[in-house]
Amino acid sequence: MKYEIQALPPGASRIVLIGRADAAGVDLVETGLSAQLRAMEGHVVIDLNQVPFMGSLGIRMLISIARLTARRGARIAMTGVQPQVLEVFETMALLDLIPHAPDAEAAMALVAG
Amino acid sequence: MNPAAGALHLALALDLPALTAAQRQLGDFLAAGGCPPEVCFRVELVVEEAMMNVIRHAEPMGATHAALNARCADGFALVAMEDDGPAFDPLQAAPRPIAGAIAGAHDGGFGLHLIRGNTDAARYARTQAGTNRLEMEFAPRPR
Repeated sequence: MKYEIQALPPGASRIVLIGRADAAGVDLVETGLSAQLRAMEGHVVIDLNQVPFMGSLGIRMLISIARLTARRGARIAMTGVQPQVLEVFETMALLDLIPHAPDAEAAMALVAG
Repeated sequence: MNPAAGALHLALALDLPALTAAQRQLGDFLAAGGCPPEVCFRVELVVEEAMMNVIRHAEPMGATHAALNARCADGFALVAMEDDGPAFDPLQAAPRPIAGAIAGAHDGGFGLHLIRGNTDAARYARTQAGTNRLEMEFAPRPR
């Protein structure tokens, strides 16, 4: 698994996660991503369009991202969630904590309030 | 389920590389056996959650190995997992609600939710050999 961070105007960032968010995949990216998040400002959109699998450690990582974002008073949303991953999120009621939008523009509208 | 449809048996070391390799073999086995992608997905998910429980909690308490058996036919999968850790029934342990997680109330414990929500039937037994045995059934779900 890997990730990319892209600037979104105005003052927001998109985190693109790429690959399986299984235990091994999360282990590869979690520490580096958390460190970068601590230095970021503004709202966050998490793009999961290229994540075909996610388990509880991936969910824990998303919650960690949401917590870091909330602590600086910013908002967060997800986009591009694959159908089977979306079912996992629904099982966990994750969407109650991190809203989901069908595309990046709608996700930006969510975080922009 | 027709037992002649094929079976997979894996002996697992208790570490991430072994889990990753097992998930790959299991996914290939189920797909070749005709399980639909959504069943393969749920099996891989539940196996990961169950194995991570063993790796994170049972291995530090003395567990040394695990085993996985899988069969599939007609789109159904039957998976049995066994480990030699201390007795632990994941079907009885209280899962943690996700509400409050962002506020920092806790940072995990979600795997039990996923095991229960993604199996169609599950049974736990502590065997006479002193191992935990978890049997799980996965049926195709209408989409």
